[in-house]
Amino acid sequence: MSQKLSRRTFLIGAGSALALAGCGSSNDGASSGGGGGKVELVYRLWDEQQEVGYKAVFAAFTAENPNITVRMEVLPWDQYWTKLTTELAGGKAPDVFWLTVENFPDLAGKGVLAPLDDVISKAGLTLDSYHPNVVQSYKFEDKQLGMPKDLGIVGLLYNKDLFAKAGVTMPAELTWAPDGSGSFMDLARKLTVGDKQWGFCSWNHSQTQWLNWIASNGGHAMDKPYGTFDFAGQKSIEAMQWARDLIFKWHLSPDGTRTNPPTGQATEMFYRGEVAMFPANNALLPFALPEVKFPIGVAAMPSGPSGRTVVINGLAEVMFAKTKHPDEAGKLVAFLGSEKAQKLMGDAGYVIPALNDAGAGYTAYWKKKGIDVQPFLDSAAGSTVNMPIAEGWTAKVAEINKAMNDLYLDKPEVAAIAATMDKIGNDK
Amino acid sequence: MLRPAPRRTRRVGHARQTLAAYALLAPSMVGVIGFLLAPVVIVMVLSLFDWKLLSTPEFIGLANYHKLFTDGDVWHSLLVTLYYVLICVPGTTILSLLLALLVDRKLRWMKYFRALLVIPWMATPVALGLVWTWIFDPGRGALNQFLGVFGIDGPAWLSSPVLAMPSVAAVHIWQFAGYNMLFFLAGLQNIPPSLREASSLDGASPIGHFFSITLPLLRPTMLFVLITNVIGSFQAFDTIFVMTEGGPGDSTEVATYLIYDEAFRKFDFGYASTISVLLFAVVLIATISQFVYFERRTTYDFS
Amino acid sequence: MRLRILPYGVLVAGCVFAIFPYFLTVLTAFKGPGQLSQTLPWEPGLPPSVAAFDRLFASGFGGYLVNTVLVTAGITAGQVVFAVLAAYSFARLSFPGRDALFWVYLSTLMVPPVVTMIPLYLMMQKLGLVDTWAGLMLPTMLGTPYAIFLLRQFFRSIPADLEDAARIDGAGRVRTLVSIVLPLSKPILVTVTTLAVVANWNSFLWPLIITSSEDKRLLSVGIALFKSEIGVDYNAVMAGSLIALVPLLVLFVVFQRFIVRSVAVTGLK
Repeated sequence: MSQKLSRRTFLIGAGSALALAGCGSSNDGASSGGGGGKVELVYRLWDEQQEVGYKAVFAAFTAENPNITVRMEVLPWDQYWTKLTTELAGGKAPDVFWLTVENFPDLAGKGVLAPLDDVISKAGLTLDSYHPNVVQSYKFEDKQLGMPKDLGIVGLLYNKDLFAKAGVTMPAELTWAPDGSGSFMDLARKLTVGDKQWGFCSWNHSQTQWLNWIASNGGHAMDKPYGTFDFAGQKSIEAMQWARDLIFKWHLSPDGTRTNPPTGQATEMFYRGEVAMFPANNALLPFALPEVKFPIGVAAMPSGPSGRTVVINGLAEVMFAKTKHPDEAGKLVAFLGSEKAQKLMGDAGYVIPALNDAGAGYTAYWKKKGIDVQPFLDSAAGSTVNMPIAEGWTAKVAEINKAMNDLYLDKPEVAAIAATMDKIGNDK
Repeated sequence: MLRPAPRRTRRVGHARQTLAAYALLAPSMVGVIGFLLAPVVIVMVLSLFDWKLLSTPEFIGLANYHKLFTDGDVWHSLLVTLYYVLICVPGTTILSLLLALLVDRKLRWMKYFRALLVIPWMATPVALGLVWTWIFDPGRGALNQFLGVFGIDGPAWLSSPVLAMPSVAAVHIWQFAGYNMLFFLAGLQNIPPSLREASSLDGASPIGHFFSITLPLLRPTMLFVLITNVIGSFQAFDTIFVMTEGGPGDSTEVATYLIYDEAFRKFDFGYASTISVLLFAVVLIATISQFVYFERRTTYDFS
Repeated sequence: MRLRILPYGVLVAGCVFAIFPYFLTVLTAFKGPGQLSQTLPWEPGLPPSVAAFDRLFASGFGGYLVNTVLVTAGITAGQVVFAVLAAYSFARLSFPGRDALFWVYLSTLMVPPVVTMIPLYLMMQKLGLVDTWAGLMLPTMLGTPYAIFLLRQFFRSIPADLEDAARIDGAGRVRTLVSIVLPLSKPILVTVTTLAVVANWNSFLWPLIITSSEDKRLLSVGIALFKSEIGVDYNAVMAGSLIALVPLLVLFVVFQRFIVRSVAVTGLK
């Protein structure tokens, strides 16, 4: 009995294992299709709102290139990087995928991103047509590794209802200075009412908050990409101190216990009408609009002692260096950089295209929704600064951001926090 | 009346037993050894390599281990993990045992109580993290609003280096108390009814009866619950990833978070593997100790 | 009478504590656009709106639900069957390498999945099983050490007399297992099945890593998509987790009927 059982069980076990293994196709995350026939490219992104927009883009692409179809893979943002890393460990990746400035350094020098200079010139495009900051962010050792996709610029969103209630209007220019003077401060004071409504929100978000203050005060987070960090420079410390004073000295903003990532509710506080003015990347608009019950106003960020410098942050589409279909993928990347594709996404209001002068459709879209986004575009044409990047940035940026949480909790001296950040950033 | 399990079954048909045993084990062996053990072994081997994920692995012998023993972050995270385990395991075990005792009666609505108490464990991790973040929010969170009713000014739970860990541990207990209750329920129902209720012949109070009769008979279940909870809390990751990201500072940076950081942010997979081996060793020792303690004292046969 | 109130009181308090977060989930799932910012988390949005559910199903949630049902059923069926076989072997049979093998099984639980996931993924790549149903289901379908451990504890607590009696009558191992042991193990079998169903249903990291096609996407990943870099669509996330919860709850309540004290044990007396 036992012998029969063992043979039977073995056969069943082995048989099912083989059958299941056979079930698996050789589709291993890259594209399928033989040479000359239909090719399916894989395009990966993390924004399921933009996925809808890209459907139209890829339909247009396949219309021009009937033998190439594009399959989109949307991933949750928190796990996008984990999955990409896992795949790259095995030498695979999607054909074309999104990258942020912050993740670019860790992939740039590793031979996994294909240089796009030839693809771009063959398609008749030039890098000059795109916003220089975005182009620069994805250059490595004189090779262009990313096709500029969009530009995210920081502007000041504000709650028009709260402004009306306080009897103020947004002036054309706002100014601030580390000593607490400036029209921005006066405005924020008028909009801070009781202990439930703040005129502003000063919170730990590099892109829309402290990098802007540092730059507008004449400081430099970093002297050049892959250079040396200087958070401890005098101008930088002044700017950081000002950000802290907004909360604890002048009481114009909620503190870090309510706003610090990962659990902070800063954006939600703006939606709820507890914060009157809120710096944000223009990409927040599609998310904000459905949620708020007040008209959203857009203004340019306030100017500091060194003028107004805002952070510009663009995404890029990159091509996997070892893709099985370099020609087709190259065509796709070129198409994505073309006016047609960029305008499709801009006109639908998702993003400001990285392509210069392609933002008219974007402005028109938001005008119809009652929001004037011109201040964003004006700021993009003005003085801008990129997010800092360095070797091993994925790990460092997480630690630097965490160190900054203390700024909004009023604990160590600003100089100490700045020194910590420099140490993390400059550590080889 | 308890008597030891008969030993004669062990001597009869030894070879046939072995064959039968491995036949029954075969499918699970394919799965466990093939898909669960192999990666573990690979991880252990990789701890001897320098692998930056995007390049080829380089053998470096025990260099990672040298780094490990002087790395304050690693030992700190072990302490943090231990802290987490010491809150979660007793908390979950005691609470779930208590709930099982309360629910294991033929009273009305017990079916519904059981279902409601188990719901936390069925939660989707993403939604769970978000909801608890709301609850802990210092300004508008339900917890502080509730405390406010009693005039208590609730602190900033997740921003406080002191309170963040207990808060996250509380979420863990919330999630798993009902779940572990199920095991204790099954265990309680395995005990013959004659031994379940205190009889007047004992002369013992219900509480005394519980400690001298019921609890010892629950040992097989208790062993399972304790061991799986210890292993589970040493491996805790999801809630911390969503709610605190190891912060504030490094007050909730448990070992698995450090491992994730090394592997996916610093791309140092060799070192991440080394820390995993250390964690494995700690968990293994904890598990063996529990086994040794319990198996000596456990009765399996209740006839 | 007073003694009755105390246990009920504790249970009610426990249930409130257990359910409260879900109460918030339900309320949020039925809030329409803009209502989230106008109400406290424990206040309902009036009028209730199913806009979030519409968004979910428009993004393919129906398909994710079907996938999750099929995958969970498949993995659970395999897990329970093979775990029972293995656990019986560990519990009742004596063979060389038994204890060592059992510890090998247990030890696979002691290394964090975040790190074993990379070698496992690479293995799947070599086997050509990336983005396949087999790749998704195989690693746990053949029995998990967790379930095997649990079943082993329970099989060991069943009186050996019954099995000995059957063996003397000429029944083989499998027959003994099936006709004697399993009927006595209903409570634990239901528990193991429930455990497996829920774990597989909510499984997140492995499905995310191993599958990429939308046609293979599961609920857990589908819900996570609404938490993006810039903002969280709270209503959709909560609505999604409600959809994910309801089948589990229904299953659990239905299975409750089978958690009854086994009559055979008393039959021994």
